[in-house]
Amino acid sequence: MRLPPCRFAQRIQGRQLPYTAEISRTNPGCFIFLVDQSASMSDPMTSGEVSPQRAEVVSDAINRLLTELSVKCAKEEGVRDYFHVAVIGYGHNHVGSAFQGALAGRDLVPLSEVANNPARVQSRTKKVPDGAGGLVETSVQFPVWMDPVTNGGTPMTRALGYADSLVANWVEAHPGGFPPIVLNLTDGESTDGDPTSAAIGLASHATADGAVLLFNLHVSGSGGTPVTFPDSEEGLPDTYARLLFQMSSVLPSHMRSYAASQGHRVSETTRGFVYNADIVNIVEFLDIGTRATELR
Amino acid sequence: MAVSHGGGFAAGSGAVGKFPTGANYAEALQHPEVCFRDPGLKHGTVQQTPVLGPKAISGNFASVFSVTAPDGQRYALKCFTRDSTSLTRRYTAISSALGALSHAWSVGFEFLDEGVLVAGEWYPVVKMAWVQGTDLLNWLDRNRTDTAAVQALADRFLALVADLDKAGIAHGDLQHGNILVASDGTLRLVDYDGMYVPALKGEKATENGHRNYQSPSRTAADFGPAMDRFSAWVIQLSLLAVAADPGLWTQLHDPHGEFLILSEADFTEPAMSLAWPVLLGHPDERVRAVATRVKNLLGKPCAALPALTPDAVALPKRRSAWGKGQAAAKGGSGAAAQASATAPPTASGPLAHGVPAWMTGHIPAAAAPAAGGTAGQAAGSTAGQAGPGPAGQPAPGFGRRRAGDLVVAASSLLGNAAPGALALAAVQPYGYLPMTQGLALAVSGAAIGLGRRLRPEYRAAKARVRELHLRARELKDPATAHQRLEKDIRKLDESVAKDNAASDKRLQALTTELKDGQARITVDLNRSTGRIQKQLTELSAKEARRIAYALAPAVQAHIQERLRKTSIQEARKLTNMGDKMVRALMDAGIRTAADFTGVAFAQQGGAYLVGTSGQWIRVPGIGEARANTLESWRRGLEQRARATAPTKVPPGVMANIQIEMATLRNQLNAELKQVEAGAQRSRDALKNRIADERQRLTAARQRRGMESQRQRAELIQRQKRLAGAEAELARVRTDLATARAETRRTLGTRRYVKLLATGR
Repeated sequence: MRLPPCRFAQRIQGRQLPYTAEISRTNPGCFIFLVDQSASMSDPMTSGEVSPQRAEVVSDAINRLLTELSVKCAKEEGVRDYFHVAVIGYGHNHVGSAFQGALAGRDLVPLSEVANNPARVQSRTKKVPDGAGGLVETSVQFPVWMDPVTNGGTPMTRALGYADSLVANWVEAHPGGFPPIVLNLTDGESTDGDPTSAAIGLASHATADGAVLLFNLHVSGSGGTPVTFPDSEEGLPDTYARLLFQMSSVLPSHMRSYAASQGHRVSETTRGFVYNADIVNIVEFLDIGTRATELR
Repeated sequence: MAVSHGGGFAAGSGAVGKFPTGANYAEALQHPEVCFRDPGLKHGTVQQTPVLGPKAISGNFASVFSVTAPDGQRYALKCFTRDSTSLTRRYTAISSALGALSHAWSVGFEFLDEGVLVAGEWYPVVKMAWVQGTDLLNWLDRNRTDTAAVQALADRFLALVADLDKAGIAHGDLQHGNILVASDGTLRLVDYDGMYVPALKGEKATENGHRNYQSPSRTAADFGPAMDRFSAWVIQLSLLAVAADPGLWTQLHDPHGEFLILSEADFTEPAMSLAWPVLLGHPDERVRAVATRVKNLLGKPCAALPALTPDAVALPKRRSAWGKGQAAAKGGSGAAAQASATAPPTASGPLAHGVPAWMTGHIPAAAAPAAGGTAGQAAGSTAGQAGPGPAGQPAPGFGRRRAGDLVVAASSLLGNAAPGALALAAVQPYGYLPMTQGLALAVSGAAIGLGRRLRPEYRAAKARVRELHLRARELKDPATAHQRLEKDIRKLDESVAKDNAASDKRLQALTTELKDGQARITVDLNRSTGRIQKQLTELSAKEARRIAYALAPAVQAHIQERLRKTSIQEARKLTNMGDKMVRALMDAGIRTAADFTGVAFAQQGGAYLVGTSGQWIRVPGIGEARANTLESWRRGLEQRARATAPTKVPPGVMANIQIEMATLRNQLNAELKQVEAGAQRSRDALKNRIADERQRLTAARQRRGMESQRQRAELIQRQKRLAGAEAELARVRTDLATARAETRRTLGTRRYVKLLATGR
């Protein structure tokens, strides 16, 4: 299966290139994180003894993404509502909000509320280089919106369907805005059927600025080299990785440029897919206010 | 496969161009003693947020943190999140260019190559003294009704732009967030990342500036001393417009919008803009003139834009005096607060001189009664102010007879004559005559009285008498009257502010409606064109299918022919076959490869050959293995035959296919054109509908502004007159007596009867 490439006739009647809509408080963007909370997520990343659980890796990624978004949208007077954010968990017969604490049970939440309401702030000790060749132990404050949860099956198709209804409402209310971004974080094994058609359905929603962007972060015990933003499924270690790659949207051109500027090799078919690697940098791909630059 | 390996940035090891993220910096800055080398920063205090740790102010390329050194000096620390490989070189050039000159607007900075340590790597920072100031957007929002301050800021901005121009420097991202207004009203520019200084000649821009301030045609190649021109014009226009009419801020600025009064869509699609018509049709001459200039910049390449100079925005004549009064009266909610403090524009006072050209003709006493639905009221009060017999008023007395007067005349005549006529006709006894005649006289009298009162001259005179009477009462108790007028003015201002706020809200709603409506049209259009284009790209596959279909009979015939020409004897040399088997086959009627189409196996065992009409043929000695051998032999023959089969469709058939495809293609292209034209029509219809309503709103707002200003001027005038109350009272009383006498004399019943009788 291939998602059809977005065919947006360019520059008809002064229309903008796709994925260039302003992200602002009057034109907010929409971020939906889908988090796999199935039992298999309790498996370690690799067979090593100290290897963290997949679920920990994923919840860490979510917490860092939310921090990153909050910092990115912080201004003098505080965090601005440039985005509305949902964190949707899927596991044991349940698909719904994965926020904990004050935001529990809520779907799309304005970013300023997210920033001001982590479930708690964790103090973590961390050894950091002191710049002179040594290490110092410091404690770092780490805001937490969700803890790892692992339970039951992986209803990925239902999760994509849940995102579909959130997205449908969003594009109806924001027809001219930057298209919603859905980021699915999973170990890949859907237990409620092939998620492909649900993914196609989800990515068929569009604003005037383009179709919904569906990105996937695959955390897997299958090993192999970590892969960031590949442009073909060759070399991906298993069928789950290939399926998730095929479900992922092609990166819009300016995001591609930013990926390139971060040192990734990219081509026109580079997709928003990451295998066992960090995806938090994707927040840096977003342009707020300033027009996208033509980086090469 | 283009893949890059590796996880987060943490690896450090000089991965090309990978800078820490904002959150990475925020985490590192939790420990200034570890992450800084600069002594002031190392022992400094990083400003914190209640929840998320170090407080960031982020842009697209960097996050800025506030660090206060132990000596109390506060710094803005800029940490870069997107790499620009030339960062160090550029900042060095900018630093030396700015250091050589001393500009009031520039803020000193230090570029620290090893500024902050994040995960074991040093990254550069820009350390700048913290500027206390308000960004331009917030400043305007707070000060928009202080017309003089806004005008002064516009002049300062003009001077700043001239200063940059003279030094051959351009900022690169002139926008509200990078222009700070200090408490003394002076300007500071911050964020020099994209700055051009002469030493950077030939480089390219690393950023294109804020979308709501830049020409759509600006590109990275426009890096040079002229790159600020478009944004400078946009900002200057915004400042001048708000200085001339603070109401423009509430009309055109969105409270959450990251722009002043114009935004990107006004530059990319001026035809759809709701802002341009408001500015280009504004009553203020300079707003119109500068708006026209800026709009004309839209089509031009960046390099060809004119510099913003004082001369370029100055009007040759008459600009200064048109001052506070008007602007405040026209302004939205802020007007009420200022109202009583403002100098009253009076007929003889500053108004007469300060009034802009467009206002003359709309202000009482300056000219004839105001236009529009308030004419009657205007006429009445004009008379009240201007004293008896002002120039231009019609001569006292009745004008010409009208239809109503004729009815009055007829009915009073008839009424009078009726009783006599009836008596003559002996319908009623003579004895009743005096009574009925008396009644008839009363009716005629009433008719005449009513007719006289209905005359406009009479009503105008009456209104004037009432007005004078009211003024006489006012003057007897000037303090209360003053208060009452004060209250009236306040009420007037409040109601104007309320109306304006409602109309501003509607205007904002219209802007959203237009934006969303256009977007929905585009979404539908994209969907339709996507579908059609998909069909278009599938046409070639369709053509191939049609050709294959057309070829099928010829190919089939060719294969059959080949199979028929292959005798079953040739099967003899196949494994496991031999003469005996071939004979058995021939006995079963299979003489060529064309005599069977495949093999079949019965469920209970036994292999069969399938004949040409589908019948199963049992051939003694042929089991499963031999059957399979025969089948694959036959398949091989068929494949070879297929390879030599004709590939060209006869020209006539081919022409038909091509015609069919061309027709389909034309149809789809026509459909494409049709949906695009349809979308354009919808867009135009939407725009026209919105533009019409906006036009109505703006016109109503202007009418309201003028009318309220007139009323206000009048109330203030009356208030002013209260000052010399005693003399005024005497004068008003004389006026009143004169007016009453005049009314009796020139508009009395006798005169009216004369009018009825003679028509004059």
